[in-house]
Amino acid sequence: MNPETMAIANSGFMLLLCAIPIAIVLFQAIIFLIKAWREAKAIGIPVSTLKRVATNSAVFSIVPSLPIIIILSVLMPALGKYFPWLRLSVIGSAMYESMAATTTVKSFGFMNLVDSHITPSIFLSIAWVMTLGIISYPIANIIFLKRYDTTVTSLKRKGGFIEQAIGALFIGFMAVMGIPELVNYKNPVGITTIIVAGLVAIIIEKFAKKSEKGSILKDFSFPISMIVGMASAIPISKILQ
Amino acid sequence: MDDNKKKKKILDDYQLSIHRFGRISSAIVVLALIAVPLLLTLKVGVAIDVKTTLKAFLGIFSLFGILTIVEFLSYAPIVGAGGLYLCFITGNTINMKLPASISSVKLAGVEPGSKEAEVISLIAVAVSSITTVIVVTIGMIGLSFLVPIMESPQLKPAFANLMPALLGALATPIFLKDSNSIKTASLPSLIAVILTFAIGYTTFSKLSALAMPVFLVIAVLWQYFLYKIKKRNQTV
Repeated sequence: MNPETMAIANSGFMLLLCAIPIAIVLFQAIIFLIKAWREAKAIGIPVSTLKRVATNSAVFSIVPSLPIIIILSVLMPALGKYFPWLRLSVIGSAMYESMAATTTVKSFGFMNLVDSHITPSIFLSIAWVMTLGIISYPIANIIFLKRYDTTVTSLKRKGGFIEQAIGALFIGFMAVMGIPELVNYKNPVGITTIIVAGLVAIIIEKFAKKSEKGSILKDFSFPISMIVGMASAIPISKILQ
Repeated sequence: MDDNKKKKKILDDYQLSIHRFGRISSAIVVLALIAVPLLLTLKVGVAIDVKTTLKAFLGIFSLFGILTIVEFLSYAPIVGAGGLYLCFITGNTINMKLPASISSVKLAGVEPGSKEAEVISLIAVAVSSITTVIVVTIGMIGLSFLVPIMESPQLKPAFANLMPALLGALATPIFLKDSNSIKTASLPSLIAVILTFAIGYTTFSKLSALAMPVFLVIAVLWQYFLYKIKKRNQTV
């Protein structure tokens, strides 16, 4: 990597620039959490339920956050320590960040990100493309979400079928994401993983209904089932090798 | 009654407050993000190849601009307005925020789409967002030693199959909850199976974001069909 580019990418100024949006996002999430928590209590949801929800979400989110560190380690040699940290924390996804960075360097005629000819000017271009390429998401919310939410809320108020329709949306989402994994015969370990994770989830639910200890386990059913499913991939991949 | 008063009648005080805060805070984040390349460009003081940069931007935006519309329409009814403000600011929506929201609604035992579900979803997405920022920050500071461990031949199959594990854990209890949920899941699942075999897993995965609204519409229409049959049977 070009030393001049790296000096800019790893400078204190870059750290400050990247830390500010991340701090704002953290503040935003905390305020949303407080607002939702207060409203939840006001509409009669027990605090114990809210604590379980928060714990479930926090525990579940740790494992899928770990692969982001791998992407961070891939992007850091090319883009410095701080910009990938910003990109993967704010409006980021591994797929988008890799695509945006790679598309930009290829536009300049380079084959990969870690090229010593990537000058400060090209680094700035990468920063611009990665920032602007995905800014449409929050802008869509700012302009259209209130109107859309008003329409959805007024449909929900009519009651009847609309309540079931939302439940169907959940199922439709999971059908698109999950069923292909279940029938992807080219990745048999993926198939066994999804089955094991599903079975563990069902077993924990059944156990939870029968005993008090089980009901405590149920709070962690989702992350436990996911981790057991992932762990099962290790011996099964060895067997299928 | 003018439009604003009509909207106030439909959205309660909490929802209006969420939209007010969501819009303002999202706008501030957008400005803070644009400030990064802008201030860096001014500080470094070198000229940018605008034509090539624009070409790269248009290439990326042509895909993600369309995905914005698709994901906006698809996810808002699932995670609720507050959840979507946060999802579109923090990212990692499909692999983290949506599963956090769905699993939390199920854990809380509230009806999807209800006021309670919307509030629970926002709590889940907010906590998930905070957790991810903390983990990634720690990763940036000093968790890089984890990378060779996660990429070791021993652990690699586990992380390579994170999504199947996540989806198995999430979807199975919901799909198999009762006979009604099995019926609801049947047609979208069957179509997903047929498409996976017809066009291949890799192609279907690449198109999944675009296929999402189609499947959501199919799931809702199918559910409506089942709802009508049930109503007719009850009348008879």
